[in-house]
Amino acid sequence: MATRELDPAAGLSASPVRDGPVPAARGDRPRRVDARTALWAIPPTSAVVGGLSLAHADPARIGDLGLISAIPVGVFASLALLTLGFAVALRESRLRPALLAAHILVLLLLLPGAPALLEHEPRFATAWLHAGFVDYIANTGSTLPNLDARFSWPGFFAAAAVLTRGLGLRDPAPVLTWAPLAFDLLALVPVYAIAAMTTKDARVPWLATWLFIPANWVGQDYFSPQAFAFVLFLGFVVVLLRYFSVGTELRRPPRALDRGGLFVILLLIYCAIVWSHQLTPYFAVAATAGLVLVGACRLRTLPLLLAVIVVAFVSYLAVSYWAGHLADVLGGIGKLGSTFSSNVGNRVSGSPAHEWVSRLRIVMTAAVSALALIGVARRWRRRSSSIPLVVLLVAPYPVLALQAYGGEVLLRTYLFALPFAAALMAAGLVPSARRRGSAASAVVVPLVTAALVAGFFVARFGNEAFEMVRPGEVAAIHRLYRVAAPASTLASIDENVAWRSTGIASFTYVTLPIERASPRRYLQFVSDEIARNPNGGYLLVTASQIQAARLVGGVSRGWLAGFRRALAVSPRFRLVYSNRDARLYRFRPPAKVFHGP
Amino acid sequence: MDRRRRSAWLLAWSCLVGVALVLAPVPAGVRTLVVLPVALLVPGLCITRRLRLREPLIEVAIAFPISAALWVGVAQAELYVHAWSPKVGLVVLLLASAWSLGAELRSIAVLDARRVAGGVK
Repeated sequence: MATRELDPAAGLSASPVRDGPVPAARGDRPRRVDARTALWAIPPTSAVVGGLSLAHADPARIGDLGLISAIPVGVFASLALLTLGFAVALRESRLRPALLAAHILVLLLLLPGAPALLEHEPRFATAWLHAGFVDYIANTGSTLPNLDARFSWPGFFAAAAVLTRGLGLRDPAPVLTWAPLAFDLLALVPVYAIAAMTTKDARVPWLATWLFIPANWVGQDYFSPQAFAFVLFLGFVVVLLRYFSVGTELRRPPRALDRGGLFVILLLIYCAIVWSHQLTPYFAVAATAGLVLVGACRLRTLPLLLAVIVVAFVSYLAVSYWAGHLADVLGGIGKLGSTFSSNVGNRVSGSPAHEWVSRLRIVMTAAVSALALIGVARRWRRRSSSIPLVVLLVAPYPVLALQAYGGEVLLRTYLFALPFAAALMAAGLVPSARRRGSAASAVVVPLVTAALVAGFFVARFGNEAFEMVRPGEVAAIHRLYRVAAPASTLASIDENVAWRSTGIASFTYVTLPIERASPRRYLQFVSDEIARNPNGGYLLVTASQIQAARLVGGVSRGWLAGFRRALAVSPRFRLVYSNRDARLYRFRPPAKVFHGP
Repeated sequence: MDRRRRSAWLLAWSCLVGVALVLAPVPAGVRTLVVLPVALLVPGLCITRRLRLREPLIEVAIAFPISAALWVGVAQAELYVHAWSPKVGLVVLLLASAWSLGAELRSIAVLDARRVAGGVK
């Protein structure tokens, strides 16, 4: 990445940063040269030590606080070394983009990439389900909007089906494992570009990109339409800010024809977002409308055009999503109180450990917001306009008034505000040229990074006890698909099951949430549900389901032990497969009693 | 050879190698490692190069979103017209990217020829 400044006022004419002392002539100071070269040893050392530590760590140690219980000390040592290296590199009088980029890449590997190195199977059940959607489209060339609402927005799934099947990839595991790292990497370039466009200090975009990684605790980068649409949204904002914002002075402005081409690109990216994800188009409309409202965007009718496109799409191409339950879809509009309680209050629940994780997420969000506010204040003191950044930071929040989105809209709102918050945080933390030599300024970046990294492991991977997928669970699911009759019912006690990566339409999947009745009565309920299907069925109980029921549902260990005992003696269920991570039971329907003629 | 021409050659060849790998019986892992980065970036880069933005950072930042939008377009077109064929879609977009880069190379060559002719005069 170039270090050229992209400040609208400065244009692209500015040269790399040289606001510190002029570097010594070559050969003048051999010790200084050695120290500068030694910095290059830090990223590979951290990557090797941290990566090997993660690869040799034991996933069985993952406890109620999630991944952090299993992170070896070598990883923390690597992260500390990396942070110090980055802080030193950021204070150099002449920035070295390749060195800073290397530090950022290793941070990416050791933070969001940690589960890929530590765990044996791709994490997160929903990612496996998305692989199932891709598999269905790849095999049939059609969608199933009546099976799942997400099929009404098939853009991402269809594109992934073309790419994976065109490349001959039939096993989804490698794609699911590395998708978070790939999406994060693809997001970092626009995050850097956005920060670079809004400052004259070349250190700010590097620090913004660095801070974006640990501040992004929401975990929406798994193999999913929202991860895909988020990167597209960032590209949309880059084009909007660079070529259509008021006050941008480009050294070589695009010709009228090329500007038309850029407008087409803007619409092309937006249409791909609309076709791929339910929520992201509204964030794009809100961001554009915000910029137009404060007079920062030249395309004054663009928000209207974007709104027309999304309404037309939902009206004609997503009918099966809203037909029949329009009240549910529109019922949340304006109900900020219930949206807030379902997004915050209801999430701080379950076991004490889970409550702690939820509270830490709130603290992380508050801390990032506070640091962004400090950045606004510092920029204001330097008479540098923060209006576009502040508008983009707050623009996602009106979406809260539309829908609770299953209690997740606040997470998404935070995510869509984060790139701009990162730019503001960096502006607040980068020492000015005058204070760059002070001891206080030297410790700010390492301290903030350390706090964010410590919070990251718990906030981001705090649910790993049930979001990780164990090898035994995958083995049980493979066995299930081998033995289950087509169209039979496959039941689970919690939705954290990594199934449906294939044959999503071949079975009836049901999740039967645990009621607090006695284990025997709950088992009777499960039995009745499966008995409805004349093709029979299976009950799959995995370690992830048990952990989710315990940590989120607040189900006691005693209840779960009672359920296991009830299953063992039940005449309705026969254990057909088990390993340390999963148990598979076949449902035995009650014998039909012959009452005579 | 200047940097712009060199990069156009490199990208065009990467597309053609990608097409060859998609059609050749090579292991899926190898094919993915080589072709996926090309498929995710080069179609978008072809378009940004056509617009002559002359801002490498911006070009790279929007290359993936544009490529992704093109992949969504190709996949949706195949779904809507009931002509589902992932391999054909992949090959067509890679070939279109190579063609676009070839056209760019031709236009650079024409401009160079004019410049030389102007110099001779």
